[in-house]
Amino acid sequence: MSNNDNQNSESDLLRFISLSLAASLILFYFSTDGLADDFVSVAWMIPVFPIVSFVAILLFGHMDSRKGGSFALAGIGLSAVFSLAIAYDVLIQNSLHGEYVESTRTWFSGATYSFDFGTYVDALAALLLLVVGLVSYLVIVFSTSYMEEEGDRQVRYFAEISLFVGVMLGLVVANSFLLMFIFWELVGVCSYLLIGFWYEKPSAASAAKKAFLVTRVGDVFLLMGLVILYSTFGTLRYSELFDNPEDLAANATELKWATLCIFGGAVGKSAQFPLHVWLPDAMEGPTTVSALIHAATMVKAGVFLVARAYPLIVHSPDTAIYIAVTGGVTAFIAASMAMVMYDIKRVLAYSTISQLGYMFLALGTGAWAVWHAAENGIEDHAQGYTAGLFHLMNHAFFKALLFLGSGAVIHSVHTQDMREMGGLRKGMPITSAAMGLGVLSIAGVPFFSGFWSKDEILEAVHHNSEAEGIFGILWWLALLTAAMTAFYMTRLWMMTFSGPENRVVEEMVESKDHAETGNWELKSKTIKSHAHEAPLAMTAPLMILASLAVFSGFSLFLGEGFGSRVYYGHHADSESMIQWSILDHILTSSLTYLSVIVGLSGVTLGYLFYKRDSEGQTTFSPAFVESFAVTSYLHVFLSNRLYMSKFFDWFGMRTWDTVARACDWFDIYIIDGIVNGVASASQFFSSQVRKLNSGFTGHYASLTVGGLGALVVITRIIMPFMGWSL
Amino acid sequence: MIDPINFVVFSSILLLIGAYGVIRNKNAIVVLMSVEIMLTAANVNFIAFSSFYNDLSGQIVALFVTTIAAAEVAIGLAILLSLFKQRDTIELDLLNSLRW
Amino acid sequence: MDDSIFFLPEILMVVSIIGIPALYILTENNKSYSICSNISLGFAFMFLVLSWYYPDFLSLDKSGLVSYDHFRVDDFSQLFKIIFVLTALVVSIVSTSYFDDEEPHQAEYYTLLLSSTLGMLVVASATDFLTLFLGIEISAFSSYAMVAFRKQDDKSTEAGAKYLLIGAFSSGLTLYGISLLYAITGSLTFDGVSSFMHGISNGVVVGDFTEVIFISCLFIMAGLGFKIAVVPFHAWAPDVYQGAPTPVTTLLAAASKAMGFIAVFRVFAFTLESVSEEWKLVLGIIALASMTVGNLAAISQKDIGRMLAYSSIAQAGYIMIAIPALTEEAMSGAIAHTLVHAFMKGGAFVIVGCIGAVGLGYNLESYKGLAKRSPLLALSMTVCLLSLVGIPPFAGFISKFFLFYGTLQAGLAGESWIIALVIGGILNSALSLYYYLKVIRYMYLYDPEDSGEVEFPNSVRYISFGVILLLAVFFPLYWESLFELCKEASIALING
Repeated sequence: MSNNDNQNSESDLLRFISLSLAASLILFYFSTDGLADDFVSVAWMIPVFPIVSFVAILLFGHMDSRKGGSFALAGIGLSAVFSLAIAYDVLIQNSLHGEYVESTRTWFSGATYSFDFGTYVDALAALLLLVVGLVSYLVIVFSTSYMEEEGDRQVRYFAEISLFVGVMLGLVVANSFLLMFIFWELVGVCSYLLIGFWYEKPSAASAAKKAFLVTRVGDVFLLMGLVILYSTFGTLRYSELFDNPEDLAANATELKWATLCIFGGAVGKSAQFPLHVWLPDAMEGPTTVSALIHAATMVKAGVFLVARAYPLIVHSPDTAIYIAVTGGVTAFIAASMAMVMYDIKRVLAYSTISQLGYMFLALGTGAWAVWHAAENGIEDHAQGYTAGLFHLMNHAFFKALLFLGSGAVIHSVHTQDMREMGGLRKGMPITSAAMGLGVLSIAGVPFFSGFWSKDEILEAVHHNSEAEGIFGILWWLALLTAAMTAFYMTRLWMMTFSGPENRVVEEMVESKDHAETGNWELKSKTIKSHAHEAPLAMTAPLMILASLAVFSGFSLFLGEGFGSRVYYGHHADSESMIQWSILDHILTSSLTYLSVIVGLSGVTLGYLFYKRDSEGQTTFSPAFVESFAVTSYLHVFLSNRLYMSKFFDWFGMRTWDTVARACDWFDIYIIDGIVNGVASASQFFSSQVRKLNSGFTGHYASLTVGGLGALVVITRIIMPFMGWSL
Repeated sequence: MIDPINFVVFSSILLLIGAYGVIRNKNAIVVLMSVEIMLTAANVNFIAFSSFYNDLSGQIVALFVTTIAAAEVAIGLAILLSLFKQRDTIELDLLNSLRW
Repeated sequence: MDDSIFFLPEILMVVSIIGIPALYILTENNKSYSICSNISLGFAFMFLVLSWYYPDFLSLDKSGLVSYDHFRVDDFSQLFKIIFVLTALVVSIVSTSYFDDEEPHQAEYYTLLLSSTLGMLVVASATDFLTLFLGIEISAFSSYAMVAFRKQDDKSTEAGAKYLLIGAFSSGLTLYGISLLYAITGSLTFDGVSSFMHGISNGVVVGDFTEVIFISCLFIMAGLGFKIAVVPFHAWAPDVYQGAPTPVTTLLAAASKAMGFIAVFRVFAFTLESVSEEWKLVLGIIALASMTVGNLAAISQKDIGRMLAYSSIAQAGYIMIAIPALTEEAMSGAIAHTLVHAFMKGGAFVIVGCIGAVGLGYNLESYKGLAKRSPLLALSMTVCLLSLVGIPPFAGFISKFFLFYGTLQAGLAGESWIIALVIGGILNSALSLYYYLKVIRYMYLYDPEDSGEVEFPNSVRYISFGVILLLAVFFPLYWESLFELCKEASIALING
C-alpha cells in the first residue's frame, strides 16, 4: 500500500467517523424530542445499537470496505453519543439529584409470575456509561487500523466486539439482577470468543477456555447469591430491593450470604485473588480486546456489581471487610508479580488486577464505614464508595491508554518482550509521550489523575483504621502497593522507550536443564529498532486518552465535584467533601505527603534501575539480580508468580486426582452410558417408528381406522378395566 | 314411519363397506369409488334425519355433499390420470417411492 | 348492509379466482398472475389488519359482532384470517422464484392458491358444520391439485395421489361424524349443537347419547386430525411434505395446519365443550402419541422436508394438550403457539424451498456450510429451528411456555392427568433438540460439499429477514400485546 493510499484511507476513516457521530447527534436530538425530553428515557437504546450492528456485521460485514468496521464504528458511536449525553445530563446537569430513574416494561406475565425488563439509571450507571461508551468507542477507532492486517477475519472481530460492548452496556443499564445476570453471562461468552480470537493458536484457545471456566466459578456463586436474594425477598428488581432498607435489615443473615456470593461473582469477573489466574493469560487475544477487557468492559463489571449491590452490602459488615481484605491482598500480590514480568502485556495485566484490588478495597472500606456509622449512630459517609468509583473512572482512562499504547508498540516492533524493546522513544514520539503520561498517572505522581483517586482511597482506608484494626494493615499494604506500582510502571516505560535505537542485549533465559537445576544463563543478541509511529487512527485515541488520563482527576473539584454526584447514602455534605476544601484537605494532609513520597520514590527507583544506558543496558542488569542471594530468590519466586499456578497444579495433582479419576469413571461409565443409551435407544425407536410410514396408501387408511379402534379400546375397555377414570 | 335407528344401521354398514374398500383395494379408481360410498353413508343419515326432524338443512347438506363428491372425483381422476401417464399404472401397491 | 364490508377478503379472493383465468385468456405473461395474486392477497391482508385492529382508520364500526347464521366475523376468526392471508402472500411471492418462467400452468397454480386461501378464510368464519366442511373441502381440493402440480415430477404426483385418497377418506369419516351429530341434535349450527349438549349435561335433554357422541367425536377427530396431522392420522404428512413443491408445503405446514386447528378449536373447545368427558382422554392420548412419534421419527430422517413434517406432527401434539384443559389461559396459549408455529414452520420451509430451487437439494447434507454461502438464510433457519425447539428468547419459547403453563395450571387446578401431558411435552421438547441442532451444526460447522457459487433469490432473502425480525425481535418484545390478541380470540372462541 503506498503512502498515498494510506492517507486516503485515513481521511476516509476520519470522514466516516465525523459523519457517523454527527448522525448520532442528530438522532439523539430527535429521539429526545428536541432535547426537551428526559434523556434517561432513551437509555434502553444504548445497548441496542451495538447489538444491532453485531447482527448487521454478521450479515453484511463482507461487503463493507472496512470489513464490518464501519458498522461497529456507527453502532458503538451511537451508543457512545447517547451514553455521553446521559452522563452529561446526570453527572454534570445533576438532573437526578441522587435519585434513580427506572423505566420498565413487562416482557410477559401471568397470574403468578412476571418477567420484567427495563433500564435503571442513576449516577453509578451514568458513570459507567461514560467510561464504557467513551473508552470502547476509542478502542474501536483504534481497532480499525490495528486489525487491518487480519483481512476477512476482521468481520468476526468487529461482530464479536460490537456484541461485547453491547452486552456490557446492557449490563450497566439493566434494572434487575436477573437481567444483569443474563448480560453478565453474555459478557463472559463474548470474552471467551475474543480471547480465543486466534483460536488456531493452542495458547489462545486454552487461555479462552481458562478465562471462561474460571469466571464460571464466580458465576456459580453469583447465581447462588441471586437465588438466595429471590427466595428471601421475592424480587430481583433493583428498585424493589433497594427501596426497603427495613426489610433488608431484618434479613441480615440471608443478606450476608447473598452478598458474599454476589461478591464471589465479582471476584471471578474482576480477577481477584484467588480467581485472578485467568487475566494474565487472557493477553492471548488481540491487544485491543485486552484494552477493552481491562479498561472498560469485562473486569469493570465486577466492580460495578459490587457498587450496584451496595445497598445490600452495607447491611453486612462481614462482607464489607471480606471485600476490603480481598482487594487489599490482591492489590499487593499482583503488584509484586508485576515487578518481574518481561512481557509488556503481562505487566499491564497484573497492574490491572492490582488496581482492581484497589477499587474493591475502597468499596469494602466504604461499605464498612456506612455500617459502622449506622451501628453507632455517628455521622459518616461512604467515602470509599466515591473513591473506588473515582478510581474506576481514572483507571479506565489510563489503562486503556497504556494498553492501546502497548498495542501500538507491539504493532510496530512485533514482540511483546520488553527486553527486546528499548529506544523506541525516537521512533514513536506520540506513543511514548502518551504512555509516559499514563505511567505518571498510574504511578500516582501529583496532579495526574491516578494521584487523586489513589489518595482518596488511602485516606478512606486510613479513616476506617481508627475504628477497626484490620484496616490499618490494609492501609500499609495499599501504601506498599502504591510504591510498587510506581516502580513497575516506570520500569515498563524505561525498558520500552529509553536508550539508543540499536543495541546488543544480554538476556537471562532459562537454561536447558532449568527444570532440574533452576539455573539461568545469559544470552546476547542484537536488536535493531526500526520502530515507526502508528497511523493517526491509532495515535488519535491515544492522545485523547492521554489528556483524559491527565485531567480526569480534576473532576474531583471541578464544578461541585465528583463526590457530589457519585456517592452512596446521604449526600456527602460534610465540609470535607466540597470542592476546594477537598483540595485544601488533600494538600495539607500528612497522609498525602506520605503517599506522594512513596510514589515518587517508586518512580525514582524504577528510573535508576531500568534506565537504559547508551549501550541499551539497564542498570538493573540480570547480573545484579544474580549477585545477591535475596534478590535472586525473590526474583525467581515472583517470576513464577508466587508458585501459585504450580501450587494449584500440585494441589490438583495430589488431592483432586483421585476424586477426578472417580468422577471420570462415573462420567464415562454411568453418565455417558446413560446418554449413549438414550441416544441409541431413541435412534432405534426412531428407525422403528418411521416404519409406520410404509408408503402404501392402504396402510395409511388402515392406520387411521386402526388408530380409531385403538382409541376405542383404550378408553372404553382398558381404562374401565384397570379402574382408571378421569 | 320407519324407526330412524334403521337408517343409522344402514348408513354404518355403508360406511364400513366404504372403509373396507379403501383399505383393501389396490386400484386407485376403486378406492375413489369406496370414498364415494362413505360419503353416501353420511348422506343417508343427513336425509333420514332431515325428514325425521322436519328440518331442511340436512337435505341441503346432502346436496352440497353430492357436489363435493363430484368435485372430488374430478380432481381425483385428474391426478390419477397424470399418475398413469408417468407410470402406466395406478396400482396403489406400486405407489411407495415416498416412505419412511 | 354495512357489515358486508367485512367480507372483503373473501370477495377479493373470489374476484381474483375469476380474474386470473381471465388474465390467462388476455395474456400469456406468467408475471401477471403472480402480481394479481400478490395484489389481492396484499389488499386482503391490509384490510384485515386495518379493519379489525384499527377500525377508526377506515371509519368502521365493529362494535356489534358481525354474525349471520352460518358465518361470522369475530376476534378469533380475524386473527387467523390474517395468518392465512399472510402465509398465502408469502407462498405467492416465493412461488415466483421457485417456479421458473418455463413452468407451465402457472395461471392455474395461482388460482388454486387463492381458492385454497378462500377455503381457509371460510373455515375461520364458519359457525356451522356445513360451512366448516365446505371450507375445509374447498381448501383441500385446491391443495390436492397444488401438491400434484408438477405433473412431470414423479414424487409430486405420487404425493398428490396419496394426499387425495387419504384426504377423501378422512373427510368421509368427518362427514359421517357430523351426520351422527345431526342425527342426535337435529341441528348443524355450532350454537344449536352446543345448546343441545348443554341440555344433556344439565339433564334437560332426556336420553343416553354418550356412546353416539363418543363415536361421532372419534370420526370428526379423524378428519380434523388428518388436517393437523396428528398420530394416528399423520401418515400422509411426511410423504406429502417431501413430495409436494416446497411453496405448497409451506402453505400446508403453516396455513392448512392452522386451519385444522381452528376447526378443532371450534368443534371441540366450543361446540362439544359441555360433553368434554367423552373426548378429553381421546385428545390427550392423541396429543401424547403425536409428539412422541413425531419427535422420534424425526431423529433419523435424512430429508429436510420429512424431518420438518415429523417435527410439525410433534408440534401439533404440543398444541393439542391445551384442548383437554379447556381453560382460557390454555386456549390462549394454544392459539398463540398455533400462530407462532405458522411463522416458524413457514419461515423454515421458505428456506428449504429456496435451497431446493437453487439446486442444492433437499437432503440434510445440502445444508452443510450454508452459513458460508448465505449467512442471512442460515441465521433465519437457525432462528426458526431454535424457535421450534423453544429456546429463549425466541417467539417459540414464549408461546410454548404459555401453552404449557396454561395447561399446567388447568392440570394443577383439577384434572391431574393433564399434568402428565405437560411433562410429556417438556420431555419431548428436550428430545427434539437433537435433530434441530443437527441442522444448525451442519450449517455452521461444516464446509459446503461443493464450493460452487449459488445465487439466492432476493424475495427469499427479504422474507427470511422478516422472519428473523418477527421471531427474534418483534414477537419477543411485543409479546404482551400479541398475547392480548390471543386472549381476546380465545374469549371469542369460548363464549361463542
